[in-house]
Amino acid sequence: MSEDYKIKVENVTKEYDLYRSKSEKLTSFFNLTRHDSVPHFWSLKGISFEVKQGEALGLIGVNGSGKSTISNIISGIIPQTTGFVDVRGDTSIVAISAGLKWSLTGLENIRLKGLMQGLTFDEIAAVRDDIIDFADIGDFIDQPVKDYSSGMRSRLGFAIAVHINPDILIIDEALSVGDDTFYQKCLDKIQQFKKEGKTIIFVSHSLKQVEMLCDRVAWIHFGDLRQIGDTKEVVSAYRKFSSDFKKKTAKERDEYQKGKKQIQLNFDVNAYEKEVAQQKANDMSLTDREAKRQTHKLFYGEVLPSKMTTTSKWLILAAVIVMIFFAMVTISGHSITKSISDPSSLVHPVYPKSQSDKQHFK
Amino acid sequence: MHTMFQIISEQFSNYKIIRRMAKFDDKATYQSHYLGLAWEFLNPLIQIGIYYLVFGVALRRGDPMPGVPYLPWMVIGITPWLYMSKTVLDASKSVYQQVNLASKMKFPVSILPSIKIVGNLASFWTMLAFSIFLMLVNHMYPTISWIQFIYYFICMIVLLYALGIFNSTVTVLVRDWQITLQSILRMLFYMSGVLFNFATSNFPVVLIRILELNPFYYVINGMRESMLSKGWVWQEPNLTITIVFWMFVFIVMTVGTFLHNKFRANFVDLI
Repeated sequence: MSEDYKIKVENVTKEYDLYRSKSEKLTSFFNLTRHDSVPHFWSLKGISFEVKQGEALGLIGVNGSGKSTISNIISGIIPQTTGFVDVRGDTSIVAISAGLKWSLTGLENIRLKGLMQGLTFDEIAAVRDDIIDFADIGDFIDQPVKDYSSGMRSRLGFAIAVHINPDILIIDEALSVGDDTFYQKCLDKIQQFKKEGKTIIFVSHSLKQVEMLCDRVAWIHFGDLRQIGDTKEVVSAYRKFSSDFKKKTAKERDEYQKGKKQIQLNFDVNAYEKEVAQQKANDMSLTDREAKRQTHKLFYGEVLPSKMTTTSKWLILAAVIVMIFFAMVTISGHSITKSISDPSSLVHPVYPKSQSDKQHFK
Repeated sequence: MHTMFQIISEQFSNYKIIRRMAKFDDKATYQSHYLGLAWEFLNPLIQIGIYYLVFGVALRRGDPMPGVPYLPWMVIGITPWLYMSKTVLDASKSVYQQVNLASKMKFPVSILPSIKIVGNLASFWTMLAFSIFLMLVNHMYPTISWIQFIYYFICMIVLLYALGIFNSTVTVLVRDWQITLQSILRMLFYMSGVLFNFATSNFPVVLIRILELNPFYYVINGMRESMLSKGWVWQEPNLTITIVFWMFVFIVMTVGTFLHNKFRANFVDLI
């Protein structure tokens, strides 16, 4: 694999816990160590691909196949469960629900979103008029967003996202809401982005849009990367799959989907890790041990642990003991040296003789 | 442990965003009020006036430190208290309020409590200036002991962040925690020696010592001692309380950052 990429994901998986009730959520919340009784759903089962600078990659697939999950992971909104993700540059994501604060006005939303993306007040003032102009909101800009029509909201969301000047633009089915005029405007903007050499990830169900915009397409199928390559090739393969799928009876379709979902429920990440290690050992002629070590680093090197490490647990326990000890030293009123040499004195508090003196100045 | 350092370093690397958003917050809160930012100072002043009348004039039971008039003594204590109690409550709501927005973009959620901590500082400085003014009026002048104030200020910020990251995460999952916290703070107000000095009162000694373990008391009393030149961090019993304080902060910080990191990805689903 070459080194001049803009985005690289390697063996990325994503696990969701399926809590059945509120109490299960709570127990998992306060359980610092593990949460194994809850069923897990693997939304992504190990996906690897690269996106080069200036490329437009389309992500297609049926509903619930994990397209949004991978685009959210790339944009840094949610962390991956395992795997390696490297994104070189600032990302900006546009989703259907535009992520606006409904109680604030349009202008305040522009400011707030700009600040949250790290812009200064001056930079925001500079792009403000462009955003209002692009979103075509006019006088509504000083009204709270809750009074907007849904089209206005998504236009504003899109306008903000493209104007904060990201290197990488991620569009998650956001073009399906606007009318034709706005759609054309967005397309022009996206084309302009491409000309400027910016990278685009485009998630959509509309194969037409994908064919028009994307250089390459990745087909995500129930958590797996089924195919990646030239737009024409992948889109036609996907079309063929769709039409074949439609021909099946409702029962067959249902069974197929259930089967796939069951595989996602039963997915074993440790087995997958072993598999990858095995392959690595074969490909790069490494020793088994070295391959295993490298794979483990690849899988968990970037991920903050979701289980508390043993060291942390012992440190917390030690801190609790120290805290209780010194709390008792304070309460008993002995000196520290005496308390250490004779811990039993901690339960016999001493009272200062001067207690009555203390009260004379009230 | 690694998680904790990661999250703490996020605060420093995003310092600029924190400052700008704190500024934005301030403007947004008071923009619909005619008196605007003045409320940040009028509110505490009215409160101080009431407490002074009740405890300083009517009851005459303030029991401050020897040789210190009641009013400056009380104001120096109530300044950090008002700041801390407001910030603890604001910070505990911070993630819950912003999660819909923050979950739609790349944004370090862990800085949300910090924004409240920094944002509320403005009124803290004004109140502090007011207490120094009161001290000067009462002929108490700066001494070398004021240096300790920097240490206690750091203590206060670290304590607030530890509580903030813990409370904000718990509040997302258990909404009742916010209300519980309000009651706890109301209770702590009377147990942190803000209005009357329990160390010189008729309380039993053991009870006084237990009350001294309260981390809020540590900060309030520490600031008072440094401003009024009445004691040093390393003197007894401050030394043992210092250790208890830092152990408490460490535990809350580790557990809080751990929980925050564990649930960061599903904050949206949890609401």
